[in-house]
This record gives sequence, C-alpha cells and structure tokens, in this order.
Amino acid sequence: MELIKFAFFQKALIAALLAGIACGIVGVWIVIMRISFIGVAISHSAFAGALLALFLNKPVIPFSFLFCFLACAILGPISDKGQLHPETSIGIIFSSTLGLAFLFMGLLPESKSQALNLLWGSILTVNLLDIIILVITCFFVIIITVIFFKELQAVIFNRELAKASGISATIFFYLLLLLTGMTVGATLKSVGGLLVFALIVNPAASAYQITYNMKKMYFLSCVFAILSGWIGLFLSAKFNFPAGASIIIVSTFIFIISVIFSPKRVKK
Amino acid sequence: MKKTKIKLDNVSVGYLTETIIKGLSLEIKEGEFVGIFGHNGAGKTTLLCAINGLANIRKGRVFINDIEFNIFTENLLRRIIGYVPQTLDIDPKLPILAKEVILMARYGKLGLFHFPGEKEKKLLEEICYLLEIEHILKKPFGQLSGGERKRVLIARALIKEPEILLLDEIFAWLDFEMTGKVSKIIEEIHKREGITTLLVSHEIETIKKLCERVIWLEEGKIIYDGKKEEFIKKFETKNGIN
Repeated sequence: MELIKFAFFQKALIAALLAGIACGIVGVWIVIMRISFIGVAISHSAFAGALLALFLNKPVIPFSFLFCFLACAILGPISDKGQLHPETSIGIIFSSTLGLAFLFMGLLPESKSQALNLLWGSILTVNLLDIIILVITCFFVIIITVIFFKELQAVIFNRELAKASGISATIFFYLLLLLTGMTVGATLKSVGGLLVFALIVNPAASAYQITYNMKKMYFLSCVFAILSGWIGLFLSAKFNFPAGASIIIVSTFIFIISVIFSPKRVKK
Repeated sequence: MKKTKIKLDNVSVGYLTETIIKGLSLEIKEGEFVGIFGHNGAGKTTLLCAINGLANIRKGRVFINDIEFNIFTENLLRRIIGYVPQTLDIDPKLPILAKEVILMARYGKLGLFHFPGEKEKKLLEEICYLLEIEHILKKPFGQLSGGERKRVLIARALIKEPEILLLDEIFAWLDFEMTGKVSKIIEEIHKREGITTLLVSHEIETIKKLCERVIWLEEGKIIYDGKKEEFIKKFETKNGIN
C-alpha cells in the first residue's frame, strides 16, 4: 500500500479509473452488437498509427487517433453494406494493419522498446497529458451515452428496427465506432495496442452474464473494468508482473467468475 | 375519392447479384387492407422493406403520402409506418426487456432529448391489454417464446399510432386461439382508425379472412392485383381446386 504515496502510482490509478470507465461503456456496445472483431481491428490500427508516428518521429497520440478513425471509416461501410462477409473483410483489415505495424517497427532505426511499450502498454509511466486525453475521451463517451441513451439502446438492439422507427441508425452506428476508436486511441499508451481490446470486451462480457438491465450493464461493465485496472496494478507492483498483462488476466478472471455465478446460466 | 397513401414507380430491389423485385409499380389508397400473397422467395418481404425504405432500391421511386422516400425524408416517413418483421434473431441473454422493445418504436417520433412520458405509458397499457402481454412486459425480450415475441412486435408497431401498418407473416408462431384474437384486433384497429394495412402471408386462409384487395407476387413480379374474390377464383383455378 506504500505505493499509493508515489505520484507515478497515483497517476496510474487515475489512468486505470478513466480507461476503465471509457472501455467499460464502449464494451457494452461492442458486446451487445457482437462486433468484437471490429474492436480488434480498430485497436490494431491504433497500434499501426502509433508506430508510424514513432518512425516519423512525430507525437504518437494524434497518429493513433487518425488510424483509428480511418479504420472506422473503412469498417463502418463494410459492416453496413454486406457486400463482403464482414468477418472476412475485417480479418483482412486486421491482418494488414498488424502487418503495417510490424513493418514500421522493423523500420525503426533505434531501440524497439518504445514500440513494445505501445504493444503491451506502460500504465506506470503515464503523464499528465495522457491523463488529460483520457479525461476528454471519458467525457465524450459518458455525455454521448447519457444524452443519446434511448437512440443508442435502439441501435445496439437492432439496427434495422431502429431505422424502421425513424432513428438515424447509421449515424449513431458510426458515432459508436468513432467513440470506440477514440477510446482505443486514448488508452493505447496505458493499456497497450494488443491488450486494450481485452479491457473493452472482458468487463462488458462479464456484466452481460449478470444483468438483464441495460443501465446496470453499463455500471457493472465500468466497475469490472476499473477493478481489473486497480487489482492488476497492485498485482503488477507486488509480483513485478507487466502491468497491462496483469490487468487483462484479472479481467479474464472476473469473466470466468461471472460465467460460473451467472443467473443466466442454464443449470443442469 | 381516397388519396394515394403508397406509390411504387417502376421499383427494382436486389441484394448482391440478385434482383428480387423487378420493375414493380403499384398504388395503395388510404384505408385499404391489402394482402401480399406469394410463395417463398416471391419478394413479399422485400416489397414491405421497399415501402419502409429498408431495402436496397436499385431503380425506381417510392412515395408515401405523395412524398418521395429519400435520405432527407426517410426518418419522417418511417415515423408514420408501423412495421412487424417476419423474424428477429435475438440472443436470449440480451439485457433488454419486452417493454423497452415496444417503447423503442416511439423513439424516432419522440425525437432527440425527449423520453417516453404519460402518453407512451397510456398507449402501452392499452395496447398490451389488447394483446394480452401485460404479464411479460418486464421479462427479457430474448427469453420470450416465438408467439410472445410476435405479440410484442405487433404492440411495437401499434404504439407508433401509425398511418400505415406493414405486417410480415404476423400469425407465424401464434397458436390457433391467439391467431383468432390477433386477427380480430388488427381488423378492428383497421376499421376504427382507417390505417392503411399491408399483410404479407403465404397462407390463403389468412388473406381470405382479412383482406379486401390482394397483390399476388411471383418471382418479384405482380401476377395479379385486384379484389379478393377474383383472386380466390384465380388461385383455385391455378391450383386445380374446385
């Protein structure tokens, strides 16, 4: 507990709180709409963007945001039009962004440690700017979820029926994708390009096992994501584990517990 | 003379390489009860989706109340159309209750920043009483039986207070008793409110019972459009029924 006295650990706890809220909310959309693969593709695009920034010696965050938004702009229409099977197209985008990421990594002239940090995350080294970006992202995600709660609920339930009700379902779907991209971009440095996706899906999937109430699902998903972050951080400090990996393992453990004790589970 | 409620002008609809509806034109007047009949794959559901603006229209134009369906008018027009889809594949664990599924249909009409109030509560009570679904309103939608889901979707269409009702195989999944009750409710609402109603069915008995006019589709084209009595004769002749 002595660690709490240190500024770097306090910043890490705040980052885990903010990343937990944003990922927890975004995860609800991803899990209910069953578009997990889109999330994976977006997080890998963010990683590719960040590595391009490192290669060009530019700031990482704007590039990762740009790549996330580009991925959303490509994935949205693919998922919408159904001209190709979405999983095939997303698989191609996912592997090509990963290919690009490793290409940029290979081209990096100096040490690869900064690039690897982006892959695994380095929550213990977050600075004030990273926290400000997380605050802004959280603000947008929360405000849009509250203001458009009913429209988002209709869209994630069924996009066709939402359209039939006279809701601009396509605009809201793109908004969801953009906020997912924004969350991935903002959490890239703290949780890492490979692991952020697990922090989006695992807590929401755990909450999905427990409740039939959408508001409770948002709440539980955020609580699980924050708990994963905080417990993961303490485990990482105590046993000298990598922080990002510890966070994801805790979130997976929470998921297993919620599946076992799920009231929705068919009892034999 | 009654005004034209729905007009399709040389409409073709397709998915991927296949064209399902081919150059179809028709007019439906206000207050008509029209049956859309045809075998599986004839284009019945696609026709409803074309009217609702949910289908991928390749050619032609759709008008509702003389207003053309396009990107600027689609949301306004959809708000006056109640639509009951044929099927809805939903995960049983989905955290959405039957009551929420019904109220969602009003969200477009309510507009941004407005939430369901007293009017919606009253409408919900009335419609759910009619359809005998008050007891399932607080159940998760994904856990309802096929028949219960269907009644919730009918309630969803009616709560919009629609001017046009598009019903796609609404009696599938309903038992004999409930089929009778639901068809009576639809008939009464149509008579009382004068709602223009289109009922898709591949069952001749349903069409016989409820519709005044029948549109018979085959391979995406209209092979008959006229009065029910003539349709029955034509159908019996075609199928060798005396």
